[in-house]
Amino acid sequence: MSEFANQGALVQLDGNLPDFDNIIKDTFPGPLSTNYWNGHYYGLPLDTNTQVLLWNKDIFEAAGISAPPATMEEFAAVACTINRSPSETRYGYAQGGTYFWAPAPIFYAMGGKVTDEEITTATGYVNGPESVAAFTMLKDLYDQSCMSPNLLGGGIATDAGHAEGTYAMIIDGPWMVDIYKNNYPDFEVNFAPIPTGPDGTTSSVVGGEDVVVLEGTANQEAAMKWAAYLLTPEAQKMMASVGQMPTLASLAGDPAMPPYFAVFQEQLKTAQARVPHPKWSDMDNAINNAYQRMLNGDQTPQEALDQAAEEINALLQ
Amino acid sequence: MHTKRHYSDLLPAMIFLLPGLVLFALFFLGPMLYSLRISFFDWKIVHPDQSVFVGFRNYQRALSDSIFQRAILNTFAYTVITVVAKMILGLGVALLLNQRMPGRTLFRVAYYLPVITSWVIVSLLFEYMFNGQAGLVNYILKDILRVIPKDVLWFADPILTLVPIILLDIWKGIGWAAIIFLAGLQVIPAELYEAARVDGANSLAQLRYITWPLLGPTTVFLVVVLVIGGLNAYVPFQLMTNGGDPMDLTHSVLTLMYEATFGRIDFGYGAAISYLLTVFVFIVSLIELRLMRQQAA
Repeated sequence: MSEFANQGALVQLDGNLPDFDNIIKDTFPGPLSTNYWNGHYYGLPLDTNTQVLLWNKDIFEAAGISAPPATMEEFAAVACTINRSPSETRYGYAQGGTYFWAPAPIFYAMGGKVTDEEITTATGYVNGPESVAAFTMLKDLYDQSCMSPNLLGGGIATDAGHAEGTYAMIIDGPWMVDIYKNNYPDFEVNFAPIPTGPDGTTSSVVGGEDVVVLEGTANQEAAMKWAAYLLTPEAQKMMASVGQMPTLASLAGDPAMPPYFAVFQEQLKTAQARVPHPKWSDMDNAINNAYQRMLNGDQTPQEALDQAAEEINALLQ
Repeated sequence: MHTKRHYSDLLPAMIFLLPGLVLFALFFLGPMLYSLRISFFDWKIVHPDQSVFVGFRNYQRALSDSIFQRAILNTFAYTVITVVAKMILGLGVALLLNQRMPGRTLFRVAYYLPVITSWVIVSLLFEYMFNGQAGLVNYILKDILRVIPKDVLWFADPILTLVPIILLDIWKGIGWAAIIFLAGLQVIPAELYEAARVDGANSLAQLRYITWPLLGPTTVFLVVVLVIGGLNAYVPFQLMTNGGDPMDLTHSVLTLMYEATFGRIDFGYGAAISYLLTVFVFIVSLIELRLMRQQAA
């Protein structure tokens, strides 16, 4: 978003799109914030998604655990105690990779932040105590073989591993329902909120899509009307029927929504967007590399994140 | 005696060439020159007129970038290993397939089949075979042959990742090298071998004094073409490393170019990388031709 806004490709919507302020009143704060750049909004949140905890009920019940972990402490404990039969390898938790999207829910839930609110510095944020604590927990899980080494590349994919019972827990998005319907029709997928961090609150990472109006269009007024229409409850419900989660908070719990949306919409109330900055891909890369270095044992989590903070600061110049 | 040049002969020739030339100019020459231009700018794709001229800065940036240097190293190592292997194994296969034997055509077809497989499909297949936790290769090495104690995480290691990529290219390319060598072998007159046999030369001597020298032009052709192909490797690298994983250490020059251009939207930088590769390939080809010609003389 901000990459294109920064290049001058998008029309500023606040102040130009009629009724803009009213439209954004009902949207979730996380998805809305992905449209913000340099003091203005350059798009409207079209659909959104987030990640929640998926837990394999069969494995949990076989281990004598009836409910998914509610706090991060429980999460770490469960990940390491989940039954391991001697003939097969099993992991309590698995992540899809080391790109930021993968550890982000845990990172945010434990109070981690990448930069300050004004996006001026990363020092004290991405390498702050909460961020380091989150990554330290993940590194410990990895070292103790509670988290699968697949995240380093070339291992069993999280969706397949979860359904086959190799991974007791994964964190993923609403698209898993469709994926499992096609690939593992007999698998019953169970969702739960991201466990709460030390201060008792949960969080996750925001994904989704924004609708924008391109600068240089000959039909700016019509395009804006279309964008505004896409955010009406009527249009959002139509998209919900094909699996695109609405960005309107008022539709949370609406009977027209597929039932599995509920846990995601609840999570969206606390989910946070990734840093809305044109150089976000490079920042993601810096955190990705830091995560790799700490998993490989080349650096401690604090050292790795300190280096990431320096690299991100350089991008914020 | 000079033949008079008839312009009436030239005209129909030009007319027949024209469609091909137009297509070449439109879809090859034009974009190539435009891309060269882009490489000297900090190119803005949304508003190209706002692009800033930066001279050779994109080129300097590439040459001093450690990720680019690593990509060159990977591409270079990959090219050397695969070309040498394909030449040696290809020649071996060609010599075998040159004998009269039952089912010879069947064998020739079988060896050529990998050449016509889809790069995408076989890259994915090799990716599955070398999967760190559930792959066939680890299963054979660990559970059957018992030569490794733990699973090898092939794609998690920046150097081991190159193993499946190199093996794939060798497997896929032996057949092509063999067929080209076969064609070269067919042209060698049988009488030479007969004469040599009469003089008491064994198979090895025949190979050394007849086959190898007379395969000269074929060998030159193969080396040049295989090296160009190797330096331009893209599909297996992109699919198996997902763009340089881990940590941008497994890029080939072209996957890095792709990421710079379409991932970071830095068209100028990507164009510079592609032209650095072009110049390098050109120079290498010239050196190869020169060396080979000297050897033949």
